[in-house]
Amino acid sequence: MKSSKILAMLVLLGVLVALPWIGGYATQRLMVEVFTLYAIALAWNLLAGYGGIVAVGQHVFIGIGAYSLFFLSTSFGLNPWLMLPAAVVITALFALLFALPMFRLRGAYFAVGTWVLAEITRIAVLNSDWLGAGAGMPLSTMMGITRWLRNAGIYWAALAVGVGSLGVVWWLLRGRLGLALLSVRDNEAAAAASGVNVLRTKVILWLVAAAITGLAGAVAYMNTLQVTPSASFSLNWTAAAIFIAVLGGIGTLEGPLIGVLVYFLLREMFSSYGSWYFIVLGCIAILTMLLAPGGAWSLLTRRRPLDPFGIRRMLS
Amino acid sequence: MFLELGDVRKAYGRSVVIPGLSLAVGEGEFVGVIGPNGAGKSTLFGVISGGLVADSGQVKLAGADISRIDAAGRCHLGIARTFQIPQPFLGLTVYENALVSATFGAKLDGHEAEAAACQALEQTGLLPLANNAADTLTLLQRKRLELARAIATKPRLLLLDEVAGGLTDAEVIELLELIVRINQSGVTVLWIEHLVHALVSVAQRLVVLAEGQIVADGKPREVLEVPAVRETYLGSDLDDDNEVPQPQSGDSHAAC
Repeated sequence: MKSSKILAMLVLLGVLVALPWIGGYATQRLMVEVFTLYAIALAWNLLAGYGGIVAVGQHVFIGIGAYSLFFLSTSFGLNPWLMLPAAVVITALFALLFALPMFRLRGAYFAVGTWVLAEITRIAVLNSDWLGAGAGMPLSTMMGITRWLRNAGIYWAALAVGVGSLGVVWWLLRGRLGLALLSVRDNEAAAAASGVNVLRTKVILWLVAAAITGLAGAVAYMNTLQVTPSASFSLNWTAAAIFIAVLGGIGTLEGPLIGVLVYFLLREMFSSYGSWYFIVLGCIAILTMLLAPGGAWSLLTRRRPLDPFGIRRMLS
Repeated sequence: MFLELGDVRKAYGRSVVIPGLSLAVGEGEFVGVIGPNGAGKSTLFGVISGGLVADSGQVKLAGADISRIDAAGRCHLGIARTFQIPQPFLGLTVYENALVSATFGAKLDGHEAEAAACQALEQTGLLPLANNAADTLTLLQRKRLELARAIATKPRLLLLDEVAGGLTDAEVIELLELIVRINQSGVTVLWIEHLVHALVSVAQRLVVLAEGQIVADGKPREVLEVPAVRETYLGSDLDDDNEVPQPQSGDSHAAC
């Protein structure tokens, strides 16, 4: 990588890290949403665009991640930030538990199956008194922490989630798993005949996507200080992730970056229009699928191929 | 025996493609497989490579029962196949296609995988197209990519399913030389091909399938003299050269 590129990235990262001293609480909270939703969209895009796995019920991992953090922190009085790794592990274990029944389903059945899993989990949480049932749980361990530190701390966690998830996905795609994934996405039978363990590849992908989504969900609900079943196990999360991935470009690492910027730009400008805002959002997604199925990134790379993350393997 | 099929049966629903087939192939053999359309040739390859699961019967490789091992596992054991209808990874480059085989089939890493992929592309004349997207290849180039991908898994048993169809005479000769070289390096070859003359010129043994059963098996010239073979499949004008393909459209052969 060119040193000027590295320098630009470091400056950008420096500004982002320094945001709590520059911007107000509202900016920080918005950025928490941006980074967490970016990570969720990145995970959805990883599943759909690289694994050919359409998970309509991806939001189940948001709820699991958020509830893991809230339950552990509130019940045992533990620092919520230290519970973030636990949220990752619990979400991944949950995903592992349901990987085998889920991957017996194919195509559309899998997509619907993940949605059913999310609904069942939501209803189970709704009926669990130890998780606060319908009222959910507060994050009472945040009480003793000053407002500035709380906001900054959550913001930094979200920043780490956004940058970290991009780093992890980039690292995966560049490695053996990335090559296996691409082959499975393109042709499962041929991938198997070439020695790729298709099921194992998909399960690993599923676990990585679950872990990223669970972590992002945990941080997103730290930001609101209260988790409820109806909000955290909500299809709205996955719908937003799909919108971002479709708009930016499914199956590209760059797509979710562009998509998340467009999504929040639209939201900040037009969300006051209520249901019209959602209608417009839907229309934009449909138009993108019809006119530019590769998303915004495909329009940018139509004339000249770009590979800023360097994940293609070229023979020199 | 290196490869042994014991009373293998395969049906798709009610349609029985292979009612019960036994076949033994020695290590290093070069076996041609012919038969009319629907004779079960590709199904046979599917059953050997693990892409299809036999309803009953046994598949053995080097004495070990591999009937319950999946396609990826059999690839690791050294079984590679090409698909009659090419199945490239369309979103990848030609080089990446071969790299998948070298990495996961041959279980090579880093430079070794790169070298194996490169060598397979060179052998099949695809090296000049290495960085092209696979979806830009012509049908003939895709067939060559099938072969490259199979070779890059470093197989012990190579199953070729109509890799020569549509090639010009010169290209057929080049392909024959390549496959003979691979066979001479110790790889057992089973080759389904409609170009009987091409097969007969290189195969040590010819197996004729009809309706999922072996109707003739032996030295190619002798097999072709069997009356049943002539009648059921080949017609009686085998000695003419009219089965050799005419040169096709101007798909130029890339230099190695």
